[in-house]
Amino acid sequence: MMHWRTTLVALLVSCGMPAFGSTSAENDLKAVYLFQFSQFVAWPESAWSDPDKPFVIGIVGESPVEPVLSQIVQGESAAGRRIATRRVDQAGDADGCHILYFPPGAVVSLPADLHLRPVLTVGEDEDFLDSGGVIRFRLSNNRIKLHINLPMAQSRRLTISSKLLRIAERVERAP
Amino acid sequence: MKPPQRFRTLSIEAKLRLLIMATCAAVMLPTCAAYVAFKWHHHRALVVSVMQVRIQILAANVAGPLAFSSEEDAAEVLGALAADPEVVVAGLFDRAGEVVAGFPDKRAVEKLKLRPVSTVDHSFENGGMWVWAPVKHGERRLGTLALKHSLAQMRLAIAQVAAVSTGLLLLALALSYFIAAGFQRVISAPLLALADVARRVGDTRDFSLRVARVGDDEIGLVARQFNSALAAIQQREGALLESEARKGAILESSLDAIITIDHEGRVREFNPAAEKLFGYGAREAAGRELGELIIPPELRVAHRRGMARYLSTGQGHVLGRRIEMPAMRADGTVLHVELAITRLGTAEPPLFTGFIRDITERRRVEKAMQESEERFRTLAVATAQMVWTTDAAGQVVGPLPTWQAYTGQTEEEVRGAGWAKAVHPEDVLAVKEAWRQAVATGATYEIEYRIRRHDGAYRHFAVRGVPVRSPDGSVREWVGACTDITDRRKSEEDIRRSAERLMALNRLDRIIISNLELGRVFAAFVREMQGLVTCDYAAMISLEGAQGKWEISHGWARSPGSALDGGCGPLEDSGFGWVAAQRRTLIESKLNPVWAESESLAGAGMKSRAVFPLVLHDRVIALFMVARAGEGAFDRDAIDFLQALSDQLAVAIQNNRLFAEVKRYADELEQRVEERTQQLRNANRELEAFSYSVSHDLRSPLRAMAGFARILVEEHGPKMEAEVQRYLGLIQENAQRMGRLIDDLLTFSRLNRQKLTKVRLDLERLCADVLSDLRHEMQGRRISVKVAPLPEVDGDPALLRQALTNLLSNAVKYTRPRGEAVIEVGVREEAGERVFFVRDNGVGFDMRHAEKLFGVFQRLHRQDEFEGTGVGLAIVQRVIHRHGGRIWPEAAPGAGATFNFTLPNNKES
Repeated sequence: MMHWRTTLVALLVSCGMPAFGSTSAENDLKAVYLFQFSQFVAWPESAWSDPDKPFVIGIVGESPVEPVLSQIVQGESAAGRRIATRRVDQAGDADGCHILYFPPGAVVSLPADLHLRPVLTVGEDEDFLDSGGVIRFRLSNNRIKLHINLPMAQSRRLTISSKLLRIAERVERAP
Repeated sequence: MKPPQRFRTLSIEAKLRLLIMATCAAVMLPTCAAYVAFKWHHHRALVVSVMQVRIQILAANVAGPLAFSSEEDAAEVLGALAADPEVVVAGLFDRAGEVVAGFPDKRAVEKLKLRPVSTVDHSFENGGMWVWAPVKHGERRLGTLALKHSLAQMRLAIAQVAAVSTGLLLLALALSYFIAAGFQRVISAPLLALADVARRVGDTRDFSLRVARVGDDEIGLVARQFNSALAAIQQREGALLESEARKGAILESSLDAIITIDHEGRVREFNPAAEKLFGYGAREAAGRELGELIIPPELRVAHRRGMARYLSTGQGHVLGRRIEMPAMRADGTVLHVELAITRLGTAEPPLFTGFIRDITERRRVEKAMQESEERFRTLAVATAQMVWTTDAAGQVVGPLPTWQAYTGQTEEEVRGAGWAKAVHPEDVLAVKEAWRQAVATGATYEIEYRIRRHDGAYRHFAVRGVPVRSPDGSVREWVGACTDITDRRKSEEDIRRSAERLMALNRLDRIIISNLELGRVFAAFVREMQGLVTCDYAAMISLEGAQGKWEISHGWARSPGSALDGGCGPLEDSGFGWVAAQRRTLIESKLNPVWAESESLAGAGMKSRAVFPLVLHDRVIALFMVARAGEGAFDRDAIDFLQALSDQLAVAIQNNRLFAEVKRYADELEQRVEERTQQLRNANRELEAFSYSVSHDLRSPLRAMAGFARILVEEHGPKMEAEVQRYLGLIQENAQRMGRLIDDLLTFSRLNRQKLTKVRLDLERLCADVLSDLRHEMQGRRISVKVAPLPEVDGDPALLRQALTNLLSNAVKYTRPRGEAVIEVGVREEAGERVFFVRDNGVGFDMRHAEKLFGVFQRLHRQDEFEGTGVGLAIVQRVIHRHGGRIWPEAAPGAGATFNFTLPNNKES
């Protein structure tokens, strides 16, 4: 469609780093984090067009996190809705997602106005926050540290719980 | 509780000291203990509340780290606990019970077992306190936080409190010891003096001793009392000696036997009356056991056991009561005595005195009275009647045993007018009024009413009472009896009901006979049934309409709107089909849903029913159903009655059918008669027309024949031979006869058409005229004619003249053989009717032929004997009949003939 101007938001090519080089413990942890974000972040009611719509966690491209996440969200709920996972391969798929996870090396074209929508984008690349991401996973010693871009979250009308903020390694705040 | 032996032997001084110290300890110990316990509890509650608040703050702080498995963050939060030295250990567990972080480190908590909790909780164990709290984010459960507190400070504080309390206690005891030492001197000295005097009095029995040092406190009071008691004892001893002497005198002179025994049952005293009663001397009896002496062998065991029980427990059945028992004399004879035993004084071991009176004679009299009363009561019961008595005022004053036994009322309840409470509430007013009147007038009381039996059932009684009068004629009391007449009444009721049913059946019989319309018969049935059987719906069901179907031909319902009239259905699967096939009565105390029609019956509000087959000539022709709006079986009587009704109903149906058939036949017959009559009438009219025209048409040829014969005789007679002349004469003669015959026939046939003109006419005159016309025929004969005075009659002159002419000319004709003919004309009264007659003494005729007499052309005599046409009497009969009269002959061969006839007057006809 015309107003869905597509832009390449994330084109991340990690040379020498295999796309699926992560360990399974690491993937479990990432899945848990993605699920917990749904609990510790508040979305505005306008994020759903219909009260019956589920809470959707989208994963861009193929990722070993996806099967683990599907298992975790089984029977769980967020914002009073059941949780669904979705694989996002093109711009249209991102429609209706509330969390959008970009695994390392994921390539997808996304709607240009994504940064205006109440979508929690989660990525792993070093410049993920600079390029408009909200939360970044930083891997260190088999642990995951969180970097959070608070102004970006606020502009997307997302409210991040202080409990989440306190465990973050770094929180970027408005100057 | 008794104080221990050692305490009892202590001196008063020591006892007082101990008492004061014990009192002090008794106050101090619980106070200290309570204080320590309160402190301990207070501290603990404080620690619990502080720790619960703290752990909740911690749980909120570790929720984030726990959710994101951030062990370092969790450890950092828990590290804050280092500020409290009393927190021994803390652990954070995830939902699976795995340790996530610990304080002071993770290893310290790994060996602990997790206790999952849903709310903040605590427990005391191993000298410390555990506090548990769930870690939650919103409603989501993330894990559990546990924390152990050493309680060291609390224990220290409690120990201090306990030490201070113990010190206070010891101090108080020491203080009380010294206070007691000071007081005891004031109290014990006078007591010791009192004890000394008491000991001396006890030893010497010298009651003149007195306590010397007397204070003003309670001990002084006791000492003074003791002194005055000693004085009283001194005085009493003198009195006692006197009393002993008096007692001896009473014992000697008493009319009752008085025996005193000791606790072993041995005789101590045996007075002269006892000697006389039992036949033992006082000396002989003294010291012997009472049981062996005067108690019959069979009561000795009970006597000794009673004594033993009293001695061990202080309880006795006999003491202080009047008892009756048999006793034995020295010579072995048994007598009845009345006995009262008392314990004498308070001596230990006790002494018992018995006062014994001979009541043998009194008992004999009482027993005789009792037997007589018992006999009376048995008699009353045996007569199956209730017997009652009241005082003169009609109030029950004594027990009514049979009434009480029957009604279950107590003697108290029966008293006064209380008996009326057992009378049926509907009867009670009438009963009370009748009884009031009987008591007021002294007349015999006779009434029937219902009495409630002890089990609550009411039965009918015939009650009769009569006054018992004193010699002076006044009523002294009333006696009466109640006789149960329930069964008699019930059988009367049964008879009445069966009579009613019989009468109903009888009435129905009459209705069936007199009423052939089935609808009305059914209505009558329902009407009769209603008074005798409860029923809300009744119907007659026809089975002979459509093949294999039933149909309600007649119905009746108590309440309009519930009628099922016109209902029909297939016989198959219906109760009606069952009844028709089985030819048995179907009785349902509750509608059976198996039957197809049950639903519509239930819809009409019916709950139970009975269906009867109506059997005729071994075939079920219809059914009779009775239904009710209530559940419950029909009683046997009702079923029998309904069965009888059904049989009658079958008869009614049969009658109805027979009647229909008879009616059809009758209708058919009537129609046929009508047709025949019409045919006959036509034929008759044709015949009359024919005979008239024939007679008329015959006349002219006859006249021609007679005319030509006369011409022949007149003009050619002289020229003809005598033989020819004779033949011509015969022709003329026969032509004349035929002419007469034709005239008569014409007259006769005219009679039917001719109009009757009745006038008042003189019959005697008419008779004379006719006789005068007959003069010619009577010439040359000896005839005596007697005409009685005749009344005037109403009639047609011409027709009556004709009739009289015929009758009189017959009389003249048939008397010809008589030398002297007698002809009578007269009238007589017969059964209120005028009967005219014409009598002759002619040849008469046989009455067997009387019927033929009045037929046309019927003749009893040959032509050559008596000439005639055979039409005359037929004309007479026709004339009389047209006048509304009757005609009948009386005759015998050779004995003459009488013709009787009546002529009703105008008024009469």
